[in-house]
Amino acid sequence: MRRNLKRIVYGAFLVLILLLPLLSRNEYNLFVTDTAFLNIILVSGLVFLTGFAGQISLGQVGFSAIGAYTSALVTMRLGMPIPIGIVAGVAVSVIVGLFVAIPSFKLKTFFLSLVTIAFGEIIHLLLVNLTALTGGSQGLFNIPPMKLGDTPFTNTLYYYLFLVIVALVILLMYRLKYSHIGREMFAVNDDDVAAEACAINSRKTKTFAFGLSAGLAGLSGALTAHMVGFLTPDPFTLSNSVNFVAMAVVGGLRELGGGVVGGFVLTWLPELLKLKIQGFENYYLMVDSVIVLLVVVLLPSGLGAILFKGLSRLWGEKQGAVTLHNSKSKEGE
Amino acid sequence: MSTCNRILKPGDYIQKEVFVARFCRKAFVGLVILALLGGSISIWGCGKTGSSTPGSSTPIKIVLSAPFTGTGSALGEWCEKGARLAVDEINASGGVKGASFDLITYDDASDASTAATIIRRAISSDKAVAIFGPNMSGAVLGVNTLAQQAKVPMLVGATATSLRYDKTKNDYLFRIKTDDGVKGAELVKYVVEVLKAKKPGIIVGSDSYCTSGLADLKQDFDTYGIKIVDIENMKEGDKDVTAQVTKLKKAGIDVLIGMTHEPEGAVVMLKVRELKLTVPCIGESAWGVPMFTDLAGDAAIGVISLQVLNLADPDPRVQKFVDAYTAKWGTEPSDPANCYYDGVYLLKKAIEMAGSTDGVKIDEALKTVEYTGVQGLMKCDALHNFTNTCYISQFNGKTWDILSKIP
Amino acid sequence: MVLSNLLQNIIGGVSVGATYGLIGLGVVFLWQSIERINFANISSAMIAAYLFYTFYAQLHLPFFISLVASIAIIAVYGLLLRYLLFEPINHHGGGELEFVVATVMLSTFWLSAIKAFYGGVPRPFPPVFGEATSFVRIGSVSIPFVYFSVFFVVLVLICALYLLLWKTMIGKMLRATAQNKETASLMGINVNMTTSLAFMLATTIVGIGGILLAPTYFVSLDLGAGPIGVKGFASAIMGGMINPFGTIVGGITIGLVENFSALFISSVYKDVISFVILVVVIIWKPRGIFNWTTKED
Repeated sequence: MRRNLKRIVYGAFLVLILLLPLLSRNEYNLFVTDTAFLNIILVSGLVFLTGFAGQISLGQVGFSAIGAYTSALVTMRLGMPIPIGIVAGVAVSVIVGLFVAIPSFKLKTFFLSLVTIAFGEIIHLLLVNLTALTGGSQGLFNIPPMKLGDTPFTNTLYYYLFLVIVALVILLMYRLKYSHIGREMFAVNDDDVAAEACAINSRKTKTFAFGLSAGLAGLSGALTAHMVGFLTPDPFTLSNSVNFVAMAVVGGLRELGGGVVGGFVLTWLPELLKLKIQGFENYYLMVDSVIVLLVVVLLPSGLGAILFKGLSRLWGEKQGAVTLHNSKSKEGE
Repeated sequence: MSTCNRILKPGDYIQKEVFVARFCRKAFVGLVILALLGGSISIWGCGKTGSSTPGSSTPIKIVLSAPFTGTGSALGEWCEKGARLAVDEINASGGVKGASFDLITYDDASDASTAATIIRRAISSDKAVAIFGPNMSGAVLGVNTLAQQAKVPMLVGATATSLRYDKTKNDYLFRIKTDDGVKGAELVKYVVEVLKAKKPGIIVGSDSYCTSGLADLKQDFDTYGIKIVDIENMKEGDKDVTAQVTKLKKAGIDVLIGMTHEPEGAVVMLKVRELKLTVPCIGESAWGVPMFTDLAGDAAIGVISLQVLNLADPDPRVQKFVDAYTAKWGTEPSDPANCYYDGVYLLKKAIEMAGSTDGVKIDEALKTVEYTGVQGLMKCDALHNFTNTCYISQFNGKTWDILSKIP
Repeated sequence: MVLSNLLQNIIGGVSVGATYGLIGLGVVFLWQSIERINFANISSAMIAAYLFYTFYAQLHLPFFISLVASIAIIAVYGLLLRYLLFEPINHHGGGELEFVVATVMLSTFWLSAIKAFYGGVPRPFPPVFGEATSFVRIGSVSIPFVYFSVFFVVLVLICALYLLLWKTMIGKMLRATAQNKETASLMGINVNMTTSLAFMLATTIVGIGGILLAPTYFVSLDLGAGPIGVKGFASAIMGGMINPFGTIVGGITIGLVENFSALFISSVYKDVISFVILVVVIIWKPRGIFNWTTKED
């Protein structure tokens, strides 16, 4: 009975997701949802890096920028087809991510966060100043959009494409979480010295985590570049890195679906808050950050954690063997 | 979860505490989720109807995308107040053939990505009949094709030369403020012919308004055959330009041209006075506004600048606008309030001429309509510019004395 | 380079750098007390500057009252920070990571709140430290009076801090709890009180730093965002996160390095250079530039 309930709920949810674009006549809402999917991809990588492997990164937009600009330049200047551009974008992001992993071998939370901030800022500065390559502050325009035959993708087509990609990302994370790689990450997260004592190569684990999250961020960036059609250095700033980390925390750092919940909720929340009361346009950002603050302070394990816990209680599942605590397992911290 | 971290004393009613704590949390979460679901469903469901003929009582929606934060933060307020003054005046006197304007404002943060989202929202969600702004050229470069695809006219106060019709080929993009190329040419003309300078130096910011303005200045100086002796860079947000001004002084310039935004201009002028660089300083129109003179204080005395609005202009239309603005908002107007004020009236005339709020028809009307506003006679030229008005003025500590008015 | 220009750059760098050091002190006090980093540290500077601007320039209250009111409010803010942010996070099971994220969001909140109430337009700071265009002439060099007054205030503040920390009982208690909390409480020190004191001290010092920076940075959102916060952290790190004097020295170093890299290398890459130095110092000398005695991370 309970298992049937679970199947019904998941089934209904699946149907809703698949039919969503057809239910709405509003192109803008579809666009926001597409953006939400791209954010989900990036935030899932962040959940992996920060939630599973415990490495904080306040410079993820740097990787996103690398992916975006690489893909744009490869398709525009080298005339390659878009899939090649995207693969190139992801590849370069991953490689850079592997290098950014190096400071994490020795540095802890605060110091590592400073290094990642520095990384993000350096990328931004390069974007603004290497004008011949990046178009400087004016940016790159007329980036080729994805095409079906001769017609560019509509918002609906992007929706389904991104849906597939998000599903693949979640599948990947699921496989990783319950594999030995995932367990190594949690071990390193809890205590990397103890993990080393158990023959886990913490450097390799951290490098993998950074590389993966960088790749996902790069993928998100590359897809954005082709969907929006132009690139400027403006969105690749520290405050957006911060937004993404907020999405990860609000979604649930230790949850598989953390990226999904956080990315979706925090992409839509500012939009919903843009109520058309005259003068309110100044306040919506403030309300947005208050809500996020409340969630972070009162529910540090994230909305996703509560959601999935509630759901599994709903259909009376017993907690599985691989249950990990939602708070730091170090006592007295 | 939290019970693991608390020290439990004997006799604690664990069950009750845990229950209350969990209930509160669940309630909170439940409320949040419900609110989000409810909000999203209500927004998802709305799809408003498109264009309508004026004369019905449905308001005509126009969207204003203005910079309230970011490099253009000086301008957002003026854009909004100028547009709203016009909207309120028009609505009070019967509207556009009976229908009133409904003005919706968004902050585009002076950047192209935020602006792109706003324009999409304006087109698909708000179903705007026309869009005013973005005001920052960088943002317009990114979004004007959206308006073109949706066939919604876009009237902007953005002035970069890259937005001219021959470059964008965008039938739906119009400019209601004087083009940077025109302003730059006037500036260089003044520098060369009146100040008789031969060794100009330029300090330039790093965003797209500054960099494209610099390109124009370089071209203009080329036509006079004068070489720019030194160009120094600064970034938006920089507060220390000792190095840059020192180098300019060393290069032996005889005039300093400022191609930056307002706060950076103030920082530059403060340093110029400190390092005793005693050459004439002349700024592009971002220097001719109250934010610059407020922040620079006494350092701005004697500075010459291009301006798009001068409060002392004896032209009756300018004075009428200044009085109406001051009466409504309590402060004197500044560039680009006058541009957006003119823009709204221009739109009104175009809608009346077109007899409809259909985007294509308004666009056709805009190409031929003539309107005399605060900026003088406004008519769409081959480059889709509606006006070429500007002033060259000098700050005397309280107001700007007009040295010349163009045309 | 002409000597006068050199001198100008040095004095400018020292003055601004000393204020960076003050921002760094806020970081250090909190780190010493609760072993957490407050990413909203710099917001205290912005809030204090705006408060002072409101009282003095908008409400036209007398200078002394405006100053005291702003500082008092910022001190209370420190207390609120402890009880409304730090304690609840601890209570609900959050650790260092959650605190970082929460304070990062707090700084975003303050930026949007100030933007909502004051607009995004920078305002000029009232000339309480001297007119912007009044200069002091030393030989052929003219230096804005503001630099001197700001540096003077920082000196006074540092002396006051020294007296507080090393010559009073409260200071001794603060230093004791910083070294070892458990032992301190065993010695009868009220750790709860010293923690609250540390919070208040941190926000107050940074608040004063904000008021001192406002003449240069204008009363603007720039006071609460990005680069300047990072410079505060960098100063703290240069001081090894432990020694207040090291922090001030670190801040001055950063101010000087900034000025000279702009002069000799490139004005555009000035910020990059600061970041690179920050990263190098963190990786290479995490105990601070001069190897101040360290505490475990």
